[in-house]
Amino acid sequence: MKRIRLPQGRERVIAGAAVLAVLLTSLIVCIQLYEPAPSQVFEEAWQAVSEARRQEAAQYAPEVFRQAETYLEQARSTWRAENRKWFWSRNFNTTAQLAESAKLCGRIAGRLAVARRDSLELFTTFGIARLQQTVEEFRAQARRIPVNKTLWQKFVASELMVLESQFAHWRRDYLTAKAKLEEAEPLVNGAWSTTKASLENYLRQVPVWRRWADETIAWSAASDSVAIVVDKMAHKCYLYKGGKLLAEYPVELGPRWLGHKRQRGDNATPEGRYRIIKKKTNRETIYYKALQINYPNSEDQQKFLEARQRGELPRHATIGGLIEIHGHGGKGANWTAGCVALENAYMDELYELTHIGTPVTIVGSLKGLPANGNALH
Amino acid sequence: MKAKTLLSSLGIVVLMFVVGCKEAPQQLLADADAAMQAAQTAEANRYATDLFNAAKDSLSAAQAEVEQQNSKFALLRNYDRATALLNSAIAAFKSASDAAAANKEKVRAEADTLIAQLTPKIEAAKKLMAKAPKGKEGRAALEMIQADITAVESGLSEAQNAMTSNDYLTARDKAQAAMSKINSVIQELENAIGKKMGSRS
Repeated sequence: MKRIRLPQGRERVIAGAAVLAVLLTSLIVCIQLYEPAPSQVFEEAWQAVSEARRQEAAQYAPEVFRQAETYLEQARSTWRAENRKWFWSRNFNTTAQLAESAKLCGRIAGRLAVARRDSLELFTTFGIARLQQTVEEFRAQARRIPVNKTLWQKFVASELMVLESQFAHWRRDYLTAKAKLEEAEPLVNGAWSTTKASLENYLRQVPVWRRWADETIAWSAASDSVAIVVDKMAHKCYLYKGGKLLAEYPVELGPRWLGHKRQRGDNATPEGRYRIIKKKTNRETIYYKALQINYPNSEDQQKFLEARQRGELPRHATIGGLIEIHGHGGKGANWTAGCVALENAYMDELYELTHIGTPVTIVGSLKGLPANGNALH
Repeated sequence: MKAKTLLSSLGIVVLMFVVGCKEAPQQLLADADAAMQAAQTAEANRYATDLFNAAKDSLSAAQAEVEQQNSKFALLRNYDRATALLNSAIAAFKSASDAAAANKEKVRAEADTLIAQLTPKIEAAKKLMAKAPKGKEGRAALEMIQADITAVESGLSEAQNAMTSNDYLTARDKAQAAMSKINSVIQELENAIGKKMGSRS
């Protein structure tokens, strides 16, 4: 058996050095063959996504931001998958492309979020201010004109929503502020516009009412007699003598004074040209003193019959009557069943100066609706 | 002798391969993920947004660093920076969770206080309603104020519902709105009563 001769001395050193050289060369070749990792583009991508997150893109640009996050996660997982392969078969192209997409989407999401947030901040700032102004205007009006109870309750609830919107705005949660604002806006504006529309519709008759009042005052001047004009909107009773204003008194009416009296029990005060037909005092009235007018006159009766024929009133409806100017006013509310109430002291004056046959013209309003819709200010 | 030196050199090279093949900090990565989940459960994204975002940045940087090292030749991998970043991310998520818990508790306490104060305020407003002047525009105004009080009661109920569903920010907004309204109602009633008293003296 032939023995293999191991290298001796110098040969051994040369062989060892050769092995080492081969190993080191392999090492260098391996390093050189490594596919460079997409570190740079990946870092840019997560920084773009991070910046977008700082700009609240998750809230203000959620779709684009979610897309950016998805791309970033896909880039990370493909990178991880490539790292598990042998170095010579690695390919980071997909990772780099996904990272590029994440970077792009992240940047877009960040810019979009800033733009949307700024725009929402402005939108809610002005929206809240505008709605608060409407709330104040409507509140001021509602103290003077009858507002539908359901409408008012909705309005008050929406007023709280405006406040909620403001608190959300103060803590920079513009999305909640906007949502609350959008919930409140139709209710506030709806209440205001419904009331304003019915007011505008009602005040279309102002020219006719002015003519009635002018004719009554002219009659007072021509006959040098006393005449009464009641302005329901102003809640005033004007006493004229010889065409000149002698006195004006605050009055209270029926709770549904906005509109013409249509039937018995509707708590409305009629509009029309009437005369005093009876003066009552002591046991004749429970309201201190009273001046009964000739409601319903022929015009009222005709309107009533027409309305009933059109089906606007129930068949069993009756026209009502016993409309008076009487005492016990000063309650601070429109509380009568359709009469005009004065404080007793004023009633004394009026009672003294009037007589059977004195004209009483009751009008909705002598003033029109100004451009800003603020009829009563 | 020379043979021994050669063998030692080869041994060192092999040892370098073995020692150089460092493992990625898998446990720390899992811990960081768990810390992030915990922070999300604590609603850190809502109650400690800045800290939560900073923690997420640390985690993203750490994950990128881990993959970057994984991409390198085994002998050249070094996870020291990744480890430091992961530890920092875990600490940041914990801080975010703690801050969120503290903030949430603060908001909850504020909402709770407001809700507790609302009931006596509503009662006070109702008592003032009874004392308020009825004459001279009083009754109509009181009817409107009554609607305000009803709306405040409804707002209080909504705030309580939000508290029950642990939505403290909404509960606080609703309670603040109701408080603002009831305070203005009380102010209005006190002014009306004050005027009445003034007119009597």
